[in-house]
Amino acid sequence: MLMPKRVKYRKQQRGRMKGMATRGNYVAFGDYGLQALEPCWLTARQIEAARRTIVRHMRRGGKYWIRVFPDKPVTKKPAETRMGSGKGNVDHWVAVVKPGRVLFEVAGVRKDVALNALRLASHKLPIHTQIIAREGLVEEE
Amino acid sequence: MSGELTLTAEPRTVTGRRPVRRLRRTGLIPAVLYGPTTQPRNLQLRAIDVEKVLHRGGTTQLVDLTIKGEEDRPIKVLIRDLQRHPIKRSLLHVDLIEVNLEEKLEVEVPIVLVGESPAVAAGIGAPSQVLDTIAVRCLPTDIPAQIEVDVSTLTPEHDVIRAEEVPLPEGVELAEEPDAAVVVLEYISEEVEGEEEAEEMGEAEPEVIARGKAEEEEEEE
Repeated sequence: MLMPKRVKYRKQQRGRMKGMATRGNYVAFGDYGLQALEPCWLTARQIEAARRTIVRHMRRGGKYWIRVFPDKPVTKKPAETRMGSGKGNVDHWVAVVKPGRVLFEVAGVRKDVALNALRLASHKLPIHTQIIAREGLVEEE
Repeated sequence: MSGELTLTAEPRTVTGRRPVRRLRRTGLIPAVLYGPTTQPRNLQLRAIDVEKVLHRGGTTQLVDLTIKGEEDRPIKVLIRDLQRHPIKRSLLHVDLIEVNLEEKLEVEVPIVLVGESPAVAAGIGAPSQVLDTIAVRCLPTDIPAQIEVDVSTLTPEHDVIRAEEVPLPEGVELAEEPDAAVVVLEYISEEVEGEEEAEEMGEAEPEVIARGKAEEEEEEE
C-alpha cells in the first residue's frame, strides 16, 4: 500500500477540508479521469482497492495514473485504553481529498473499457465521483 | 468538424467577481478579445453558443465573431483559452484571439491515433501517446482540425514515432521539436499483471527525518 518513505514529523493534526480542489482538478495525463465530488480522507487501502479494480478491468492494455498520495498519518489509541497519556500510534495513512480532485486517470484503452474501469473503481471509494474526459479529447466515433 | 462557425458577442461593461457571477447566472459568460494589433476588449457571449462552437470546431477552427452594435463585418477569431468550473464543467471564461488571415500563426492541433500496431496483436506492448497535441505553424485558414498518426508502423524495431515523422497537410509546418516523441511502444512487463504488485510492503513505519529532534536536544542542553 502507498505510504511515504520518510516524514519530517511522525504525527499530524487533523486539519480541515474546506472548499474545492484548486490543484489537480483536471485530467492531465490520461484520456479519462475519476473526479471526487465530496471531501474525504481516502485511505491507502481504498486507493489500492480502486487501483486493483482498474488494473484487473483493463487487463494488460493501457496505462493508469494515481493522482493522490496518502501522506497524512492517522493515529488511533488501542482498544479499551483510558483517555490521556498522549496521542495514539499511527494506524494508517490517508490522502486528503477535496471536491474536484482527480483521483485516477486512464489512457490507451477503448472508451467503453476506460469508463467501465473507472466506474468499477468508484465503487471502492467512500465518496461520490464523476468521470471526466480530457479537455479537447477527440473521441472515437 | 467543419462548416461556418459563428458567434455573436456583446460589449461587456461588468467586471469583477460578483457582477460577473450575476452575468453567468443569466446564461452569459465573460470573454476577452485580443490580438497582435488590437487592444484587449471585454465581451460577453452566450455559454450555450460557445459550447456548440467547441463541439463542432474545437479550438482549432476559425470562428466569425460579430459584435452587436459595432462593425458589420465579422472578425475572424480563434478560441485561445477556456476556463471551466472544476466540478460542474460549465464554462467560466473564454479568451478569443483575433487572427490576421495573411499571417502564419502557431497553434496546437490534437493528435488522433489510427490503425493498429502489430505489437498489440503479438501481445508485446501497446502504443502510448506521449503528446496529445502537436504545435504547427500555418495560415489560419489551413489549420487542420486534427492530425492523424498511423500506429501500424510501430514495431519493436521502430518503437517511437517522432514529431518529424508525423504527416502534415499541405501548407502546415511543424513547430514542435522535431525529435519529440509523439507515440511510443510501451512494452508489457510481466509484473503488470500486478495484482499483488503493491502487496503489503510490510507495515514498516516511514523514517523520520531526525533533524528536528537532534536540534531540539541541543537547544535543551
